[in-house]
Amino acid sequence: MQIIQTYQNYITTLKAEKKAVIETLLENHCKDDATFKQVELNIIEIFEKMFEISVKKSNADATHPTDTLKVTFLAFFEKIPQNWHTQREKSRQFDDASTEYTETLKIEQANAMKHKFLSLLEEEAHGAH
Amino acid sequence: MVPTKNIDSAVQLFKALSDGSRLKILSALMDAPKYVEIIAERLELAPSTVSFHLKKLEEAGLVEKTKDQYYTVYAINKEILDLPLSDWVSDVYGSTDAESEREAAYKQKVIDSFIKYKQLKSIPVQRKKRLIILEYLVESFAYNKTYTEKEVNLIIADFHDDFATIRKEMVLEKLLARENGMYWRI
Repeated sequence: MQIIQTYQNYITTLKAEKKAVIETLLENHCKDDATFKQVELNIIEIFEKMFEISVKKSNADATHPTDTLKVTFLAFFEKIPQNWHTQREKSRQFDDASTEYTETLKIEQANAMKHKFLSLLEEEAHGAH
Repeated sequence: MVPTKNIDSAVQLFKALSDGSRLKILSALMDAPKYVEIIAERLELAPSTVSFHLKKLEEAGLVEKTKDQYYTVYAINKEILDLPLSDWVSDVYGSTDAESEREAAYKQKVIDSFIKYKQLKSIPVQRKKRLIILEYLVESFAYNKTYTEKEVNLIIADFHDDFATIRKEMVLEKLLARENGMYWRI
């Protein structure tokens, strides 16, 4: 499956970009912004691990590996951010701007990674036809 | 509005200033009040990031916001920004209530670490901290009112599942009195 290598490359690039931004922000004494980028980097690493798990599971499925990869990986995007949504709602109720912003960043980072995966799946499906 | 100069507000102000992005935002507001979007565009930051920093600056009293039809405009609070640094430092040191302020700050810190969104994360093991938390929880009980054990449990359960332990601790620490199955705040 070409998608595995492409998505792994995407994650590698994303991590490298984030790390470079963090370094620049720290050099410019923008500590809070650097912390927020670190939060995004953590999310990338969480879903990198989830992707590895999904790939392993799809490798074990000789009949429908792409479907298994798709279902397994997408399920993580449903399950993991659930608590972030709850925390964001609570932080809004209690006017906790810092938590609200952090939870939003986590949700947005996860969404970006999910959409990238979906678009690669679509590309692969078109390429196959 | 000028916030009261005590150790908490001074620390909040210096924390707000100790960030490059926030200094840039203040600098961008020096010439004229601006909308979030304009600041974001000028500083090449996401509007949500600018909003976060503006909230921090507002809490420290460094900026003020006003509504302009549908938009919120942010402006420098010159009253604060023009204060000499020595004013902040000397007021903090010279406070006659410095000790009680430190105590209040410590209590608040303990409450902030153990209470999140009105939920007690865990019962502190250290007695001093536990007492602070119990004092915080007992604020939910009115004076001159008696409660049944069930009512006490329900009030505490809003904060933590282990209401039995907390109820007993409140009695032990003489925050609640108990007689014939009825409780009241001391």
